Amino acid sequence: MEEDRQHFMNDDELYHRLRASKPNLPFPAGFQREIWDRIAASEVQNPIARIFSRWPDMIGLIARPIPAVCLAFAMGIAGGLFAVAKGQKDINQLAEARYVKSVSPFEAAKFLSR
Amino acid sequence: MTSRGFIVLLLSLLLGVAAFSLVRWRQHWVEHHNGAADGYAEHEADGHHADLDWLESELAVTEAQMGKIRALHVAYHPVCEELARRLETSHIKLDKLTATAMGISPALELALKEHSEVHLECQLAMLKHFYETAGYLSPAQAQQYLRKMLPLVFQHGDLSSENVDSHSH
Repeated sequence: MEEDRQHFMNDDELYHRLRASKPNLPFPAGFQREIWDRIAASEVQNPIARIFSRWPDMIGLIARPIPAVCLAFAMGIAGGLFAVAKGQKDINQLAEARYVKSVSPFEAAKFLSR
Repeated sequence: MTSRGFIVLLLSLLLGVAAFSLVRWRQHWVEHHNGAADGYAEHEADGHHADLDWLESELAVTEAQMGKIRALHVAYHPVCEELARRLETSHIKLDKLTATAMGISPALELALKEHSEVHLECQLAMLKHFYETAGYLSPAQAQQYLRKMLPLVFQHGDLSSENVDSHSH
């Protein structure tokens, strides 16, 4: 018994036996399908992977005339609106600065010295 | 198809940037031609005071409130101008004295006292004006107004001189 164990503990022999063995076990039904399902599920769960997987489709979509015009129009409008919002903020700050200058002698004195 | 999509995306982004730049340029042009915030105060012929626009927009002041505040503002304006001139004169005097002195001379001490007096007068005048103005506002408006204005009296807070300076040119 002890000899047998030592015999199987011999790595070289074990290696050769494993190489020589030809297991003929069939894969369970649907084995490959399950693997692909798992890969697909992991991609669906990852939002970044999902976006990147659809990126070529999205780029292809905007290459068409109508979506291209819509996108350009939307970007133009967005740029304009962003500028208007920023301008409104500037106007408010300007109005505030003007009021402060009109009621604070400290601020008014700085403008007199220029 | 993909490369054409990228070109469309790039052109759309450029269009957005161009629209932003065009609107900003137009805003600056209008601002420049209106001479915004240049000059000490703007009192227009039709009775509109550009100085008070901020109160209207920030505090949603009613026309009735604005009438009273406008009268206060008109009365306070010469006082503020005079104090600003005295303050500036005091600053010039102190600059001259400190530039040549190697110690505290009696003249410098006197100039410092005069400066402190003007400074105190400015603070008192401002406080009086702010409280009088707040008196014509609702409690919520007054609280908001004083929260913004009181730091000016003591030369601290978020309404710094940089804020004023950065919008005057």
